[in-house]
Amino acid sequence: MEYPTESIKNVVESFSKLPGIGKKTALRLTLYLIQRASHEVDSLANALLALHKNTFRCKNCNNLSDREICNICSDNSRDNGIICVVEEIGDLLAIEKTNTFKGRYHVLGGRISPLEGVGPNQLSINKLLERILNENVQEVILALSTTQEGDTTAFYLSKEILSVNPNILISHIAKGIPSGASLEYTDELTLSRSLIYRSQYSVISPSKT
Amino acid sequence: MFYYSHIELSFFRGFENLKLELPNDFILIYGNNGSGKTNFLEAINLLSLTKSFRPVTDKELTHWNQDFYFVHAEIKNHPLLTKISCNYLKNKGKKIFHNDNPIQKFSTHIGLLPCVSLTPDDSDIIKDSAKRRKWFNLLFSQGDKEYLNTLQKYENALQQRNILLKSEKPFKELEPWTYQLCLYGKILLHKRKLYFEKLFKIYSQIHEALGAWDVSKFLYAPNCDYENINQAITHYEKHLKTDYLYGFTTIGAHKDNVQFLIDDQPLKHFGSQGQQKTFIINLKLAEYEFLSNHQKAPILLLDDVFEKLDKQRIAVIAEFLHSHQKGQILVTHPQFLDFHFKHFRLQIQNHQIIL
Ligand SMILES: [Zn+2]
Repeated sequence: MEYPTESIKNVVESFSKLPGIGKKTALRLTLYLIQRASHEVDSLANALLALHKNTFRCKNCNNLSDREICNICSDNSRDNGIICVVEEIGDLLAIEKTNTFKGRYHVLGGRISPLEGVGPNQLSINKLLERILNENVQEVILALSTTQEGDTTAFYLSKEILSVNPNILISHIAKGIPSGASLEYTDELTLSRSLIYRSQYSVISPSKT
Repeated sequence: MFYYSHIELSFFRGFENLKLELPNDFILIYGNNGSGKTNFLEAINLLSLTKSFRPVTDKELTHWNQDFYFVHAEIKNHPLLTKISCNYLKNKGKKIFHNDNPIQKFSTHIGLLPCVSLTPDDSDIIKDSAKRRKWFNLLFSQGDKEYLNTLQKYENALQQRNILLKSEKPFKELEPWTYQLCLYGKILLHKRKLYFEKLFKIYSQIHEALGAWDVSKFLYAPNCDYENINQAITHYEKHLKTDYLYGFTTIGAHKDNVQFLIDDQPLKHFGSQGQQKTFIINLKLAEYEFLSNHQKAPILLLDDVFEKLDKQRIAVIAEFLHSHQKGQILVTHPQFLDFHFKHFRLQIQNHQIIL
């Protein structure tokens, strides 16, 4: 496609590299920006520059942070004895949003997949083992994806974790049917998995509290 | 039972543009060699199983000088599908549409429109063990979704493990994948045992009903047979040195096979041409019955099967097909054939239907 100017072309091409954005949307966004007042565009540009300059990975857990140690790691009210291991920052944010977990996290930065060139050395595993040794951790929750690569990562991690601390409790988040889903349309693997990992059903009586 | 009620082919093989209504019947398509009758069955196989029964690329399926093909059908009596399309465009690849919606994974299509084909190339599975493996994997996948899911997981774990072997990564990195090979391999082993037994039972009945005197059978030969996962893991550990040496996994379900025997000798060496042909025909008829028991009745495609068979033999097989027919059956033959039962005839010439 021919663009009227070189700068339009540059911006369109940069936008279209973003996930979920095609050439058409990229052009629409670019034209929109041209029509805005220049101070609005300046503040956007500055925000983007600051994003990169001021965002770090937490030295402890690999979460995003604007300091060396992230908000979660430096929050004293959180439980030190339990670490929830996730693949990506997005997973951490999703769990945080539920407001049900008050321990610490560890972000691996991916999952083991030799086909994609990701081995244990590409992930933040040594740091995790170091934390387990130093932070008096009693439980590690593996909140990994329910793919074969997630399973592999869980398998590998649990062996490594037990080798540094054989008494630690390792658990995995329940794998099962999403709430609101009908059994009839759940795929067989999820269904059989949720049967294997079934949990005890307890009747909650509201009057006792 | 579901059937293809309307077929449209555009720039597919020799067909520039063909639109055709089909009945839910026993359909004879006759015409000279090169008239397009095999290509017509290929299109139906493509819609059913996402590819031709021949080992061809999608580019080879396009019409001369074209960069795309378009194959579309309407389906009747199917619980989910009323329309199915398979389109190919040179730089964009192949897409499959269910009721006009593109599907993400081709594997989800397998088993929805089950299909059994019998073509002259099928005798290759007697000689070639890799083709034989492909054959039974496709058959069992069509009958059992979980088989296909497990097979895909097994193959993924295998590829992942092979990369680690090739780059000589340590044992502890291999271990999770070995475990998965054992886990999924055990499911495949169990299902293969069960399905081959069922298939063989059906085959024997058909073999007898169609009046063959030789004793032919097939024997499932698993590469490693084990009762439990721990036994399997030990087995893999024993072969670890060899695996590292070759740079790939040398044992497991991907090396499983099935032996075809005639009077307890390998069919490929000891069976005459006639015996081999009879074997393949009966095997495919057994496949048809097997899938009918497991699934919806499949579409049956018979390409030039009656060629070089004598009149009496044709009559016996046709009669069997007629009495066991469950869904649409499409048969090609170079000349007109007369059957003693109700059927539908189409004559084809230069990739056009003659009315
Ligand atoms: Zn942190």
